Amino acid sequence: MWTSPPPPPIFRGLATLLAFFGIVIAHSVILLGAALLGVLVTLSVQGRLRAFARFAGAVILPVGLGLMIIWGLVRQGTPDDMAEPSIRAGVLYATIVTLRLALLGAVFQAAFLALPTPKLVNLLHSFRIRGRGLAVIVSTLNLWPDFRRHVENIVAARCARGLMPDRRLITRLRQLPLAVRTLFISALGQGLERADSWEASGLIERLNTLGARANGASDCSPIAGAAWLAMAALWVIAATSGWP
Amino acid sequence: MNSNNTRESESGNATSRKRILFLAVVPVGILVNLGIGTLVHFLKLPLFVDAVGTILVTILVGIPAGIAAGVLSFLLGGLLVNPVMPYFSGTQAAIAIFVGIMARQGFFKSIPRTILTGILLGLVAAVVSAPVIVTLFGGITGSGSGVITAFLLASGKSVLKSVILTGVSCEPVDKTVQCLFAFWLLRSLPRNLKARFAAGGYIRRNVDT
Amino acid sequence: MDYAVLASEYRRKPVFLDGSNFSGRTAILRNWCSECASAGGRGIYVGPNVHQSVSSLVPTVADELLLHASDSARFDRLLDVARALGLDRCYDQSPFTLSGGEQVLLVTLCKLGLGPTFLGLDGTIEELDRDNAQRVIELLSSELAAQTTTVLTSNGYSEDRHWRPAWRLPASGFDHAETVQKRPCLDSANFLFTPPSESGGLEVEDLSFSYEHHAPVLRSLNFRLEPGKIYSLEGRNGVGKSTLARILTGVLRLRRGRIVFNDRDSNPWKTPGRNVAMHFQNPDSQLFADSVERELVDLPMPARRAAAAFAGTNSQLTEHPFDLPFVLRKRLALSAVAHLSKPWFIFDEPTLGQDALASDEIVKMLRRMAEGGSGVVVISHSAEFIRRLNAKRMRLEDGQLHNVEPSAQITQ
Repeated sequence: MWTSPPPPPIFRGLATLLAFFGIVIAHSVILLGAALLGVLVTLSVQGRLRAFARFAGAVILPVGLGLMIIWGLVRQGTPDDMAEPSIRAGVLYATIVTLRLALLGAVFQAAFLALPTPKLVNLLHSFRIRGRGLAVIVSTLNLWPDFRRHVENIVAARCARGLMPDRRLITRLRQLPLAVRTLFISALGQGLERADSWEASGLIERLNTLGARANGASDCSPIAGAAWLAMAALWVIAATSGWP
Repeated sequence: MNSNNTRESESGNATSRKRILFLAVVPVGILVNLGIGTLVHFLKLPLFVDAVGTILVTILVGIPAGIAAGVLSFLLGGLLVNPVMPYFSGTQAAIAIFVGIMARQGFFKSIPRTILTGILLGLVAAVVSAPVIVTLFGGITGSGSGVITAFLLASGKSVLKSVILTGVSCEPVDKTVQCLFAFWLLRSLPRNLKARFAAGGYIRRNVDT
Repeated sequence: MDYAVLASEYRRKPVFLDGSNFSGRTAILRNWCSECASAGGRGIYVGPNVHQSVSSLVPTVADELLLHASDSARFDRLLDVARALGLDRCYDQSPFTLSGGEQVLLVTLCKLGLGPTFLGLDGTIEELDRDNAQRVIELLSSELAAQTTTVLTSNGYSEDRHWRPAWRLPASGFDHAETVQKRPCLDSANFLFTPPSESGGLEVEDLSFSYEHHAPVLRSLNFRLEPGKIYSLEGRNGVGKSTLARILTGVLRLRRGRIVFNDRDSNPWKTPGRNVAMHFQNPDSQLFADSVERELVDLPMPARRAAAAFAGTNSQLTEHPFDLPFVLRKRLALSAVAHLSKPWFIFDEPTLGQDALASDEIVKMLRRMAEGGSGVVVISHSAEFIRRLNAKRMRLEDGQLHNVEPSAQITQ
């Protein structure tokens, strides 16, 4: 399934939404755990496991730990259960929420992160996003790596002028407002020039035509799309039924 | 060119001017929101600054552009930074709307007014984020404020109330700092940029242009 | 000259608009652009920062060409030319990863693809090497430019201009909307050199560096630079000159090797900018204050006034640096670094956007710094600038530093 042609964009979007719905209503640790494993395998095949690991370390771990402490030790129960304190119930609840969070992040990454940017344009176009909205989204995505370099250049310039003479916390904190100011002003000036140039060259209209043309001749497989939707629907049924 | 055409071309010019501002500033707002996050990470600072771009775009161009910048920052942030960001896009939209309403009344004109705006904004953000934190995060966001939530829960309050109270005690400070930051940034804009934005948005009501 | 006359006489004949800094060339070009638009045509203006003119609306070079082609026949023609220019190697790359020269070729090709009536290239081709400059001129005279009138401006030394403009118009004496009355001068007589408290040689031992998950950029570098001399650091785009400069300044952390300053072990990462100060190519990432005065406040007291005077911004002390035109912003950023009191300086493209006179003043300034006891390293695309500096030339290649003969051609 992973190597077959991708599903048409609209199927991808619908399947993802269904998956989210199922995740939010699922209550079984085993089901959530199995699903997470499945998605992690997908991510690994897509080569995006490292991105998930970063997210897991930065968000899931601290949140999971906090949840265990709060629901397991402090509250010793679930939010709706005002019965006698039960550490087990609290830990179970914490586990479910943590798994849910991990799944929500992992599914989002599996569905969209592996998309090369051209396919993303098609996706947006098929969701009827045109004109200004389309231009803003694709422009931001395309500019991001370059913008990150600009941020590094600004910090480098401050270092190179002796404005960040050491690496203490207080010195680094002092860089923030001035670096952001320069970042903002230079980005704003560039953004205006770029938008002027789009207008002068009529590029927004051309972008729409490009998007429409690309969607007409796509290599998407409706069968793959149906498969994605079927899997998502199965997932929702499993989640609702409370199985196992 | 007869006068009819000139009038048409004038209103056409105004629409195209507004369109250019939207096209120019919304990506900048998104990039600045995400860029500040990168900067903070690069400088290894223990801060979380997430709405400055949204506030700036709202004041410079208006509420719809602000909503676009805020929501898109968090949706694209899901791809570029952290996949749980999209769930807080609603909060960004609320921030843009509230900032726009306050800016329209000139509540970014002076420091005391900006502080008031920041405090109220913090309350709004806390209330709007609470349902997301409760349903998806089980009450915690992984930041230090979890301690307060734990304390409140231990005292027997419901999850929702605990999360809201936690938010109400932490968000106003954070949002006030961000509003003051935006206040300072807008004042330090070069003249040519202030002039470019004078026609739309709320900058004229809040900053000497 | 009237736009109508220009358009009728100079189709497919790229014209060079000659003039020094502040002679009003940008205003003239922008005026012609809007006159073209009022006459019902399409006027396109491309500034010196070619990076701005990359649309960013599409992810790859091939898509950028597709975006600008008005129909599929034109697209095929663009592809043919792109192949001839060697851009087909880059079809799947992001336009932002291309070298400066390749970006200029791509942008020129794209703008021509739109079939504009007027195209203004304001300082865009200034840094191009001989081959690429020739290619651009051929492009602007080719069939692709059949309906286009192109006007080019450039700065720097005429000895560096590898293309001979067949048609030229002088900028002065034109009737245009904005004429800059006062021309700010860059005057090395205003430059004030503050000798560093400590001067000494800069030595590098067994220095190796690679970015995460990439091949090594610098391999076991060993060299010694003497104070009081001017060096030129040369090499292809992307070879690692900027990386080396950043390591010496303390922006990048050194992991393998030693840096020795004045015969003592030095760790620039811990104290960035203490012994080596650097001026970067783009002034817009180096200006941090909201007035010229405040921008220079971190300089030693007597140097502050000199710095403002040298950059020609004496009468604009309360102006916001970003309200100044590009040429002045560059001079201000340059001045802010040059007036620091440091043993070593690195300048990356200090003459960007500067005309021949201003470039000569920068030569004089750098010589005074070296005579005063500081060491200077310059990165520049301008062979004439390096020649006038009488710099000791070094080339970075394959992670190693080699000496270069004074008369050798500059690599790009």
